[in-house]
Amino acid sequence: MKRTLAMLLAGGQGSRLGILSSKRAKPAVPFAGSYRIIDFTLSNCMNSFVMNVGLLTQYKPVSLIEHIGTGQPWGFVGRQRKLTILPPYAAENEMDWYKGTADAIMQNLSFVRSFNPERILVLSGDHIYHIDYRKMVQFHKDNGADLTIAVMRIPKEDASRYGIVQVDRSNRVVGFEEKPTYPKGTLASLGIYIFNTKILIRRLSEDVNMSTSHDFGKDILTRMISLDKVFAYKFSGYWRDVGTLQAYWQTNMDILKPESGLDIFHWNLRTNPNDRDIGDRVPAFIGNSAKILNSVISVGCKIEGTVENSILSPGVSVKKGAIVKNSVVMHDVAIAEKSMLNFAIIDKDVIVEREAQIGLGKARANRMYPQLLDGNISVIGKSSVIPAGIRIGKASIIFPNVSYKNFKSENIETGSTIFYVNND
Amino acid sequence: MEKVCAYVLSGDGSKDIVNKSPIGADDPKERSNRAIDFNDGSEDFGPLTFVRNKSALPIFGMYRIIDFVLSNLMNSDIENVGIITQYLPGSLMEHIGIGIPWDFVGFGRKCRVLPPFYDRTSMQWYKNPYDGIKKNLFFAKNAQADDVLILSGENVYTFDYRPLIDYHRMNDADITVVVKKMKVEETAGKLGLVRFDKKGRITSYIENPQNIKSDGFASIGIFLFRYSVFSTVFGQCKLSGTKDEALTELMKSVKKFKTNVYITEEEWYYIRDVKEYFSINSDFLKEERVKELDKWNIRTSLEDRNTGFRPSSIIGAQSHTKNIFLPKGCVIDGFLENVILSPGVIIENGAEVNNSIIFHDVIVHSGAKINNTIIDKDVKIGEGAIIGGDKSITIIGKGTKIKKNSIIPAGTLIQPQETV
Repeated sequence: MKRTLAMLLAGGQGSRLGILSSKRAKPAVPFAGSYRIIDFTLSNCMNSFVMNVGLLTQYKPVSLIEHIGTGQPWGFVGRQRKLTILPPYAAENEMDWYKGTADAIMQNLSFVRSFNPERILVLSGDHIYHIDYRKMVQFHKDNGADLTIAVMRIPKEDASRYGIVQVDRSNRVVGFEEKPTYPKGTLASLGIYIFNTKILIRRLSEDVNMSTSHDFGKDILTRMISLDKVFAYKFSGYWRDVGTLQAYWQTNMDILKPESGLDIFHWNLRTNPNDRDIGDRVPAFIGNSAKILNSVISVGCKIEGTVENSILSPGVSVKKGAIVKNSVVMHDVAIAEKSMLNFAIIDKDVIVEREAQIGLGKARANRMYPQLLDGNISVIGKSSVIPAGIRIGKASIIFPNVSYKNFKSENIETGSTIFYVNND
Repeated sequence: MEKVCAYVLSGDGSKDIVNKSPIGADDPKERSNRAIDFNDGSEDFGPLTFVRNKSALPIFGMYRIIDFVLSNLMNSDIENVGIITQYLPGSLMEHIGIGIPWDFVGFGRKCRVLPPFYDRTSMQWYKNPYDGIKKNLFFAKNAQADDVLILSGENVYTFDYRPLIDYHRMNDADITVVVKKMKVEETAGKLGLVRFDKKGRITSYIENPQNIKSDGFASIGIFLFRYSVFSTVFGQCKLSGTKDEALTELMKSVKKFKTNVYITEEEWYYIRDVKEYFSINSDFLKEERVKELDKWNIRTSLEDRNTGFRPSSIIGAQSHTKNIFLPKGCVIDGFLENVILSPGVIIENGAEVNNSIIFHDVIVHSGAKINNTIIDKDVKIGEGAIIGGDKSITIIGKGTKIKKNSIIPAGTLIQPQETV
């Protein structure tokens, strides 16, 4: 894998994750208690012995850059190992943001050339999966391919949400459509590509002068299918795009179901232990009055209440008499006595005060953002305070930093949205 | 700025390891089933220290004992640390590495394990930890230290050494010995009794005093030396006896220097035997104590058995958990009360564990019942096995396999790597 350079696209906003990604890039969204989404791709690189990674950032990269550091947790530090963060930059002639995924790589061609790689592994930082890229590289070599695309069979009804690949009998790709209204198959592209460097550089250079959207899926792939040898590598393990809040919640819950195929215990995942000092936190303490069923509990948690079917990140405290059900609770959230959470995604540093209740009533769509929330789940933004005794219905959105003054009533109906307004 | 370097004395196994341990016994049954009496005051950890040095003993689920002293040094900005070690140092060396977890890496910072060695003129082990310092005087010299701190790696406490250093310098002392008020029963036959005058100058030192009648001050194994005095004292003293004899000799020779006490009221634990080890662990299974641990900022090696990188633990749908320390990487689906778990422990559905300490990567299969037991790393407990009882602590050595439906009575001590 010495001759393979990974280019990891981590600039996406993930707008359908709503307030979870309003302050951080989608790859930096916490997942599975102590990880962030990008840890899965970085760990895959580590476990596949990829030694050099270029990480392309654009949207709110602070959390992400902080998290990744030098790449040391994933072994990307050493004489021949390196992780380089590639933010957008101003050049002599141009001062441009990355216009698309292909453009992001085009603008870093000198970086790519400095490694003189035979192949480039193009990855996305926002998927949850476990793969050995070495096998895919072998497949690529065996077929003498110019480009190999990892694909997976998906249910027919989901096909219009993905890039759909058509293949012939020898797995050669003969067609590609991005999010087709009428899909011509059920093989979805997983956003994992292996390019021969020379061909990629040629096609990217051609693309620069064309009036396209400079996107891999739409432009480069379509052109390469007609001009070059493009193959599909069939992947059959667990792979999820956690692009929506519903998918984010469901994928978290999959950890609790061994039959789902999401097996965080055997994937040798790594994360940055300095991030919020999670590596140095004391073991979780489960107290005398605690009742915990079917849940993920991280270090630094202090549990005296009831926790069921939930995922708790480091440092969460659940006080006596509090009930947490079907929820994803991020770092250092404090849940006070006799409060109740059901179907909630709670961002970091939220304080839920005594007897506050979240997730009451029936499932519905959020009135203001029906495209984000349509069902049981509510989302509470980072550092909000949920005042004592307040009752919040299902499918509600509470924005980050919301506090006492922003709540106009004790009863927040289902499907409501509460914004942060600074009244001072 | 003036510089301080520290020597940390890592522990041995037990005081009387050769005579008390059943290693030499030929009959495997006798080896596996020797019941021991931990009440006799001997410093015996049974099979827990057959595989590792005492300061490398796991504690509170995810730490090793030496983490406390190393974290204290880190939190006190002391950046040059030499570790004197001789007895089974493998686990310890693996754990400490080059000291990354405690920030001992970088310009002017250093953490080194100092093993015994031979040269052209002698082929001697360290006769005791202080002899180990005598043979490694170069470490303090190379660090260009103005003052030298000598610490024991087997104690559990949190301490900021900086006020001690300030006090030592303010008094222009040659040696400062940290003392703590102790009851008669805590000191008699166990600690070093220190008497001093009104100015805090030490007048006498008695190691393991037998006949004392009133409470007094005892040394808690923290010594600060002016470098010139350090090199003179350690250069001249013979230090050839046991650890206690060497310390007595050292304290005799420091009389001609300006030797003061520094009184502390910090909590301080010297874990002498399995019983004390067991009780300090259970002592911390309380919410207030966990908060203290939180505040202390204790660091440990995250690479050691990959502890820092394991996933968050999962508690299953049929479990019962009360009063538990739960670090990373555990999968728990049984009945647990008052248990300290270490990373990677798997407790299957239907297993029952009470009042026990379980080390890394132990698997307890369905239907097993465990009570009042310490289970070392990598042990597999077969289905339906019944282990331990209230009467006395049971210890299962590292890597041992307990067969299906075995019964291991209370107080049994099982060798590492056995199959029972």
